[in-house]
Amino acid sequence: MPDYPRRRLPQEHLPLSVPVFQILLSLSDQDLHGYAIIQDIRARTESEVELTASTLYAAIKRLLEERLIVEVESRPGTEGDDPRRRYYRITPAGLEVARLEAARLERAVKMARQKKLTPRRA
Amino acid sequence: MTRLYRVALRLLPRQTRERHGDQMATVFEDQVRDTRRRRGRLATCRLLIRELAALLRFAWCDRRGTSTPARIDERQFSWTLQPEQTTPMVTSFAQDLRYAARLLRRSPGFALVGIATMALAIGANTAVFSVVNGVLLKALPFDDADRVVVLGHHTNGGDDLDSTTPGNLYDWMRGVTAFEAIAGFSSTERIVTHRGSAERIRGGLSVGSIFAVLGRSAADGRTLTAVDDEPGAEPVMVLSDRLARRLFGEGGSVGQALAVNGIPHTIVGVMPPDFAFLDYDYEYWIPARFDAAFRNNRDQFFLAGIARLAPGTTMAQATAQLDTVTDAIRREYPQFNQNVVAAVVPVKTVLLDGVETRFLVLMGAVTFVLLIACANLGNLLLARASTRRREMAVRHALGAGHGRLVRQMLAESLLLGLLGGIAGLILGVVMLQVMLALLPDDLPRLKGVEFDATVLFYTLSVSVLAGLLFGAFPALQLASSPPMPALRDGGRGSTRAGLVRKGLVSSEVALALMLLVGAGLLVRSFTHLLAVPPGFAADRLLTFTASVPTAVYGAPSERLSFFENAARQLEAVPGVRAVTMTTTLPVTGRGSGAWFNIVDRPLPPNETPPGVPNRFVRANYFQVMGIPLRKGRLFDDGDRPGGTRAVIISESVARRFFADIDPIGRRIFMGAPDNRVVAESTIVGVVADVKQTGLAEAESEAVYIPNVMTPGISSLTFALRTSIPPASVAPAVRDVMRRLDPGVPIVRLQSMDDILGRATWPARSSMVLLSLFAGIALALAVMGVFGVLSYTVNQQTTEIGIRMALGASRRNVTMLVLGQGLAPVIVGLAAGAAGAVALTRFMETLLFGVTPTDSLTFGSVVTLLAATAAAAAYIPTRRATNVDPVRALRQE
Repeated sequence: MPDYPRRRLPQEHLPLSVPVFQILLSLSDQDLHGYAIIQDIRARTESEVELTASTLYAAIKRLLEERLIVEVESRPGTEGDDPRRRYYRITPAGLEVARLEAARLERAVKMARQKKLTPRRA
Repeated sequence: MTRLYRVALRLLPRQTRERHGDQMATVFEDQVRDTRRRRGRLATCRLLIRELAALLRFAWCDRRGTSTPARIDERQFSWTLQPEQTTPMVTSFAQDLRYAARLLRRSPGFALVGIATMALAIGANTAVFSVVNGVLLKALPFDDADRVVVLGHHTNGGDDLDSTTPGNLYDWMRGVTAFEAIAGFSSTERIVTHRGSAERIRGGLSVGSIFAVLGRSAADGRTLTAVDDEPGAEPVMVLSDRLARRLFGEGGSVGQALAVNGIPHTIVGVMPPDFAFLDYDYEYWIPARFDAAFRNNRDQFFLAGIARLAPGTTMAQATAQLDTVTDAIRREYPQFNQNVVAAVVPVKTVLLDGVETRFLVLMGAVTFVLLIACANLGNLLLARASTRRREMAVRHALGAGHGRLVRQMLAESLLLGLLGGIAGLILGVVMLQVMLALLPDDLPRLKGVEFDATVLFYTLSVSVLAGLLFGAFPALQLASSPPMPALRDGGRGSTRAGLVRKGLVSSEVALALMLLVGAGLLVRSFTHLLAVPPGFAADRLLTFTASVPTAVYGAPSERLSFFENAARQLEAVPGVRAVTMTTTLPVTGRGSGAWFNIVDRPLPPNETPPGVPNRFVRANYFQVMGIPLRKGRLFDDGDRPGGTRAVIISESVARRFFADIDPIGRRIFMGAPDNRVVAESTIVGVVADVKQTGLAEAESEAVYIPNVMTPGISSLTFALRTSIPPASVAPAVRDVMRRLDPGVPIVRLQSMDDILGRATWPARSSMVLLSLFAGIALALAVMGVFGVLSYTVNQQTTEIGIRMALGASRRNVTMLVLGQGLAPVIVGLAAGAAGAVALTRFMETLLFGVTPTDSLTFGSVVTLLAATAAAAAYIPTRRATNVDPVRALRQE
């Protein structure tokens, strides 16, 4: 068994990979199960980001280990839900990391704008 | 598809799989359902491939424990505007793959043939490898299983592992220090009574503690210890998980008691579900509890020893010590140990005795199939490559480096190999089910066969290797010939490529021939086996074994009258013509035996008499079984206690002991002089030989004794000759036996045909499987011959046109084309025949009634292959003779 990784400071996680950032975004305002996360990301990015189950869980595993998200037993009150599904909830640390990443991206976009690098509309 | 993904999940480390595996599978399931609905079936295949690739990466990272957390697989999917961050080498290879995928999509026919060929070969490999992996390769479920050995004797210089006596075993326990632990065991079948219902169940007798040797502990309670084996110890037992569950349900069996042969035994432990002792179907373990006198017994050879080598000792050291102790035993008890030496055999060898060859032959067969498939695809790619010489030349002219072009070729074949591998994996799951249905179910360790990470890894590597192998042919050709001239000569094939193509055809034919010969030999063996007369009339015989509990039927006369009564009542069942009984049925095994002593030819006191199997039978045994009398008479009513002490011997016994004189009237006894199994009796008859141990074995010696002479026998096998199909009598038989005494369990109710079927099953399954693979090989080889010849004819259209314009007849052209097409076939046949002669001798142990170089088999296989190859060559040849010279020349 390898040594448990030292807990990192929020800024040490940056920059986040695309799946991780997107997963945190999806969980920022609701608890979701695995497939719901994939659907949420697909809907928000208009199919630009499509996670596979393995990519998702590779990220989830790390996020759980880093305590950026936690597993919750089940979400009460949702009809037609499969009891086998596990739901994930973002932790305060996770929210903090997501915020820092958003700020980082914002700074980057701002710099691009200052250099007049605005995306061309097709 | 989800099932495949679940299997693939085994790639993940156990911990991760247990934590997330189910969730991943659920998500994948949803995704498949969703994708199919939104984008159709083809998209789900793409999803599977993408998913497997992602999983592979996840597994890789996770197993290595590397990669910065939260940053794995950044390149997993595309953010459309993400710039390429990869190195040029990787980029260009990715480009190669993409280009290859595009090419394959553009020629779907070629892709389909290629993928199907690979799938067939890889599927067969996957299926056979899963069985080989489960049966031969996986570690036994014991601690450090390589150090566990079985102890016994070799008798008369033979190789068989024979049992030993309690006396010898205890001497070994005391005298050999090379073992960390040593114990003995023997199979037993006892009547276990639980809540009033009695069953006869197989179990193991433990001398000392076999659990200490195996290094396994109980799942519940404890295992047996050496203390339990002391003569005065309380009767205790350990149950298998299966029996405990069946009798007591979940848990709670420890502390309960079961009556074993009428004596209550306390259950002290239950073993884990995966515990299997070698391959015995033992359902319980009880300590042997031999008394002091029996611990020194020297003439009952019925125990096997099992031991664990002490750390740091070798097999050789252990054997040497064992030999020293056994030499001392032999000096002290020469009469019993004169012909035996000590034997130490690794437990795995004992377990897999005879099975290994069967599987290695099958593994060889599928390897051949794979090689043939590779040769086929190599040919296909070569043909394609020469039609693409122009394209290559153009790309070269435009600046693509030589290496880049070769890499491009390899990318294509690698992609084909991988796609074939994925299809083969799916096909392999199906083939494995077929194989499992065909294999004998008493094959050792068959339960351990499954699709696991090892199998997946094997399939993956085989796919990649195969892809590289068949891709190597066109790639090498390209590398060795500068593409520039191709621009000039209009892209016609070179002679060199022609040679390679012919070489590939030859090797395909050679490999197919070797496989066909192997299959042919097994088919011939099997027909020989079926044709063996068993020595008795086997049809319409129903058999079963009944055992009376000795605690209830205490007096021998009670047992005898129970069996006799049962036989009489069974004779009254409609459809039953006659009923007989024996201690051991033909074909089912050697059964018990004892030393054979001829009264008027005593042996010197130091010499061990030869052992001969004996059968205690009802007087009408020979009439009912249909075993013919050769000399003397059969048993009659006078052969009972108070009358004549009569025995009947089989012809082979007569030949072995009474070659020079008439055996009738000779007097014999069986067993040790002071421990006689059969008292002094007169030989009254000689009957025909009956196969005792199996159809392929020569073993047919037997001494028959009327069962009334040994009334104490508590277990007898009934044989009912019926006038209707035996199975239809079975319910009535059960009824009769239950009415007589529900406390007497009956087991193995089956027809003699079932018994014979099982005896020939290993041979049948090997034959069917090898024939199947040989069939695939033949089909692939024929496709190869056809493909190459079609291609050659196409290339030669102009030449043929000129020849015909200059006056060549159809016959000339036919001979030319056929000659060209069949020359490599003939070379292949010769090479294959030579290879087969070299290889088939490894199959010798699987053959019966044929030699490894059986000329009939070789002859018919060569004819078959030559004929199919000629047939395959016919269509392109016809096309060649139909060439219209004018059109052919105009093409130029």
